[in-house]
Amino acid sequence: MTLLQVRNLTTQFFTDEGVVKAVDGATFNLDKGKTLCIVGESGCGKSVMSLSLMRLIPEPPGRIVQGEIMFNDVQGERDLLKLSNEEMRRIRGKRIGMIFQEPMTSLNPVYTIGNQIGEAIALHEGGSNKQVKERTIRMLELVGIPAPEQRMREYPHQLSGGMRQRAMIAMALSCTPDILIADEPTTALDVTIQAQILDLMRELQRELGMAIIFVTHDLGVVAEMADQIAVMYAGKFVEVGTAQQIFNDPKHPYTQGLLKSIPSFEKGTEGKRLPTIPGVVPSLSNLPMGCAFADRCEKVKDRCRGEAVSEDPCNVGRLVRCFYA
Amino acid sequence: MASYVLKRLLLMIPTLLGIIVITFAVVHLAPGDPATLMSQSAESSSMNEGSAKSIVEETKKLYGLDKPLPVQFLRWVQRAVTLDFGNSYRDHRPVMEKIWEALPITLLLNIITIFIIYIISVPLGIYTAVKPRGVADRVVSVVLLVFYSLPSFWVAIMLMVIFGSGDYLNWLPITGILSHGADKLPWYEIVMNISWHLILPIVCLTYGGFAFLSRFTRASMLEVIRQDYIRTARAKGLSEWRVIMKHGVRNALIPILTLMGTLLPALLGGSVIIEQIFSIPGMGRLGFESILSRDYPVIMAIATISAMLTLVSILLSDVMYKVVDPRITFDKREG
Amino acid sequence: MVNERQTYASMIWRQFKKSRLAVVSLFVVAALVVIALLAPFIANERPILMRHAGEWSMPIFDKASLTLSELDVIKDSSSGDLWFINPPIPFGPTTYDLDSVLSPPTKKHLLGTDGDGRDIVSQLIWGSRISLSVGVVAIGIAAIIGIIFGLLAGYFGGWADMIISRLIEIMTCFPTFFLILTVLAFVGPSIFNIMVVIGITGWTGIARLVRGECLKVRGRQFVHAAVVSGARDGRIMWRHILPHALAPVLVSVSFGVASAILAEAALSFLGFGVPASTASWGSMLSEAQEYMDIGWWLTLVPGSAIFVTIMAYNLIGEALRDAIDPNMKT
Repeated sequence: MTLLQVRNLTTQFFTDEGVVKAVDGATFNLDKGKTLCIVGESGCGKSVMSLSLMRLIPEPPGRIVQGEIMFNDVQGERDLLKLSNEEMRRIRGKRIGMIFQEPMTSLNPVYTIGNQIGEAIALHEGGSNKQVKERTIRMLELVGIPAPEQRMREYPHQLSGGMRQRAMIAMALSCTPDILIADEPTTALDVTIQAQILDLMRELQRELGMAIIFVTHDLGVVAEMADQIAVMYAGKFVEVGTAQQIFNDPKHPYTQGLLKSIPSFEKGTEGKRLPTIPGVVPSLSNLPMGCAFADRCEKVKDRCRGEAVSEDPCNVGRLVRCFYA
Repeated sequence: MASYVLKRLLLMIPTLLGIIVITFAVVHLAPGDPATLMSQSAESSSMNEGSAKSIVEETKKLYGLDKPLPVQFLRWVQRAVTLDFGNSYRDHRPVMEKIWEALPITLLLNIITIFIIYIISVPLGIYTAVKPRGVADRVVSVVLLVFYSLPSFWVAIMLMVIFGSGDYLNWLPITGILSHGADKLPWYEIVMNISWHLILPIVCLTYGGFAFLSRFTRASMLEVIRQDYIRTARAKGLSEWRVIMKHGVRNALIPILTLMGTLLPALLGGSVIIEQIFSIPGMGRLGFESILSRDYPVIMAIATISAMLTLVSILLSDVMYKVVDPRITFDKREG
Repeated sequence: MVNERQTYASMIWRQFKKSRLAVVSLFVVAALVVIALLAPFIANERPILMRHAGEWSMPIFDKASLTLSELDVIKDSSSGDLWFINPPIPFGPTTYDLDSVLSPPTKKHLLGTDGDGRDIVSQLIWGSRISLSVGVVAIGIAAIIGIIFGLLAGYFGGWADMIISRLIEIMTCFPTFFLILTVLAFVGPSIFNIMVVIGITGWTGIARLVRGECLKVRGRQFVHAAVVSGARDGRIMWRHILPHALAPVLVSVSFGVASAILAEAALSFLGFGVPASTASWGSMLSEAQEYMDIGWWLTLVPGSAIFVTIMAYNLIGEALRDAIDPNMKT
């Protein structure tokens, strides 16, 4: 079942230096219980993408200028962008939860963990103080925090990085949302902790059945998590497909470049330099008319610079934004 | 907690010593002969040769200015630490007695003033931070800057003319804090009478303070609003009001509370002129009159005591800081 | 380096210009400076330029020469070889026009006269010299002390920092205005003493600022580079650290000038200011208290002058602070 259908989502920032097209016409589907990974280099607009889904873009300077986000849960299908602020507020935290990159700064330093988790439960689920407390403890247990009754009385600075991210996850999942948006949730963590958190998320997904939108720049993480993958470059999706399609048969030169830059341990690659994509991401406020990747692309031809690229010009059968895929 | 306070108290000792050294140096500025004294206070014509002579003599005796410097200093330390500042030159009553009469009045004035400043500025600062650079923000900022720039003594005399002189309106009393003979009234009448007298002085003391504190609150709040945990609170589905009031304000208040300590000396100094204009018998007026009549023991006592009081209020606001900010722990709990 | 600094300055200027009130304030301050400098030419009881018996003279610089009122008397009886240019305001700050004592604003006395028949406009113009010079010199002193102490504490750290920080703490413990009054009581009030006392009690804020900036900048690459390349401490502080601290210091100085002007006015108001024979805004207000019920202009005019001047400096300070503080941008 399709839980979320995003069509032509476009978010722009209106700054002194001009209009920044942070997300430009993003289109994708998210199925119930599945994981979509949004991959891209930093500054490509993937964080703005995830905040747009929650309608948490700071306004001004930002604004979602067009598109639709059709959300289909037990209450039927509706466009999140057409909801009133109050209706949207009831979806946040309840139907869609979100976790962030930096668990230290994302938790309020002056309130206890229990307070911050209980707050969301009390808000969306109601119930007596005792019920809220019990559910908070259950959530902390669920995310694998030992001695939850003590931990819930502690402040964020008293927990380790991994524990903080677990607490964040407990908070985001406390109302059993249909979707969890995870914005680089493991980037700030040590590699071992990173693996634990990924395991935890997969386990919780099996248990609770929520869909996950996982935003990351780390293809290693994508390989572990993704059912679907959307590759983002300079505000646009350049390639969308299943994990298999993207990893086994990448079509877009950018995707191919990204995959080549993952270190591999196969025979024959020892001692070789890791290939990188030359050049830098163009400024989002001053994008070229044609393909934004043209300047860094090996296969670039004149047409790439002169003409806007549609979603699938080569009829690959899925979104591959390239004339020569 | 107790050990933290103790540690802070110990750290106060060098500062206290510095305060004593500075006040000791000030005593030494006192002119050593009546002629200099008289020429310096040409403006305050109250000085005649006889009183000038007696002031110089008494000063020499009181501070032992004929003794060697180390002896003088030790004597001054002893006086400062035991709060024994001798007798006033004017009426020969113990200095501390005069201060104990004046201090409660100034404290009453300042506590009400600080309270009003906080009550008005903090919400204003929060309000302007929520929509920065908007129309309301700009208007508030200019209006408060106007208030800040209005000299309080000018406003004071104009308010006196308008509200109290009888030429225009005769609504409010303009001198003292209690009507003549009002001390025989029942207590609630006395409270009313005092409040009545305090209206104008408190208006003059407060309005200038709004700008600074609301600006400070605004900056502190803007800083907090940019933080990630505010985004988290929004992502939880909290209403904007709750996001600001629960997650924003509590964090923004931390630096604001510590400001309380630094406000006290400013208000103590500011009240010299307001207490003088409204004839309020507080520390400011006592100090000013002592300065006019070269009543050195009182001057030195006020300088020393208010510096010490400030030191204590800095300590208090530091302790408060630790209480409201859980990140700072008193004893090492974490590994 | 120079280039980078220039663009930083021009960026601040661009932001600053966005505040129209602040730009107006700059003009107000400039006008005040011009008025203060030209006070003898604008308001004087003696002619600016005079020809008498074939000789040219500038009586405004000659205290012994005849005043305008005396010249008026002579003019009628003299042979005709008498020619002079009046200043726009033909009264000095101490010209006693006994015919119009306590005159409300009239054509002759644009803003009226005080209880001794002195012209208010003239006193206002001459008073601006006191206010501005006290403001600028006092804060100049405070800024020099503050910058030196701040640099020493922030750059050397350790003992220097320890001692200077303690000193700052001690200074901030004293109620400033009372301290100023006390010291003035001991050393005697004079314009010089007022400047010095306000200066030496007002440096702590700037010292703190510079110290903080210093600590921030000290860790940066280009300072390390300078240290490694063997630059002397003094040179590093002067060339590499101070320029970064300058903008916040300028904000502090702007607000400081305002509060120094206020302090001087308050001191004069209490009779602790400049000698009574010198016109100053604060002493005008002090004298106005006697005539509050009948001479509203006596209170209103000097008070407004103090207010406008302080407001101008505060607006400049605020716009400058907004311009250099990226956090205020939204």
